[in-house]
Amino acid sequence: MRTIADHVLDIAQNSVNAQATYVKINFVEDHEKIVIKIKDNGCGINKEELSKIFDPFFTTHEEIRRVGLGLPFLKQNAELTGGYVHVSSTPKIGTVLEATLFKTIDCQPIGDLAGTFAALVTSSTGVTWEIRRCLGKECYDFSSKALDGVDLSSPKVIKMIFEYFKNMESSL
Amino acid sequence: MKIKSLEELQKIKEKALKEISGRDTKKRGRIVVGMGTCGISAGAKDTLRALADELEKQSIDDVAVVQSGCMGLCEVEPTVEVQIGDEEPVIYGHVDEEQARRIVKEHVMKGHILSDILVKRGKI
Repeated sequence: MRTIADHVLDIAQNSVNAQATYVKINFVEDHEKIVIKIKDNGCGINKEELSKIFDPFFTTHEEIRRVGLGLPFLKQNAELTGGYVHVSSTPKIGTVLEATLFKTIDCQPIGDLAGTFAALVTSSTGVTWEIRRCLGKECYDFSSKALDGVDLSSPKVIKMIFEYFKNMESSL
Repeated sequence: MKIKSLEELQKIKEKALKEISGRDTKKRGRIVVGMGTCGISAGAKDTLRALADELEKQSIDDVAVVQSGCMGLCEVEPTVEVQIGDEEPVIYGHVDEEQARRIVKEHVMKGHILSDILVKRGKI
């Protein structure tokens, strides 16, 4: 992953693959650090699997060709900055991932966060996405409930959603 | 703390619903973008954006753009599968923004298969 935005896109897709119907993403940034929280109501992870999630190539989704590198990459990049990744989960209830990355010289660039949010929101019609993005004291909130009934596979709609997040990011 | 409203989003919804109302929404084809870890690392997000942008630019709204996980072709990511009508699916590899726009202009609009980036024909 070249950017933190790529990590968020990859990790949040784990929630979709875990059959979540609700995913909440908080991406809070200040001059010192970036705090990411991704919470879902997916199938959750049992204790045994939870102890292996940071092992490279560990995946519970071999049948759908998961690579098993997303979480190890995020952990490695967070720890390089002096930060950490913590995952807590309850089977049949859901999973919460919290990551903190400090803005040191080793911190990856944030990258195209607008594109990440747009790609997630248009990735699945069966998921309600709630996103809170803050930069310092400036924030915006998004809920995909506002898009109920819209064809998310329409190129026109996808383009509009990309532009929407681009505008929201540039307004921060 | 400044919280921005969802008004702009509501406008998107209203515009989208207005445009599809009273129109046959059956799609004549679909384009699948591989968005697994490997695809994301290789830039699949830019591929997705370029496909949507070029289709919209060419006024094509009867081709669905959807995302999938890894297609098992990690070495040629970003990968894109194109299926138009009853034709067998065609999978392209190394689809950057420029190739994504070529796929729309040549394959989707003219039916020409791009042999230089062709990876596979038929279902995976």
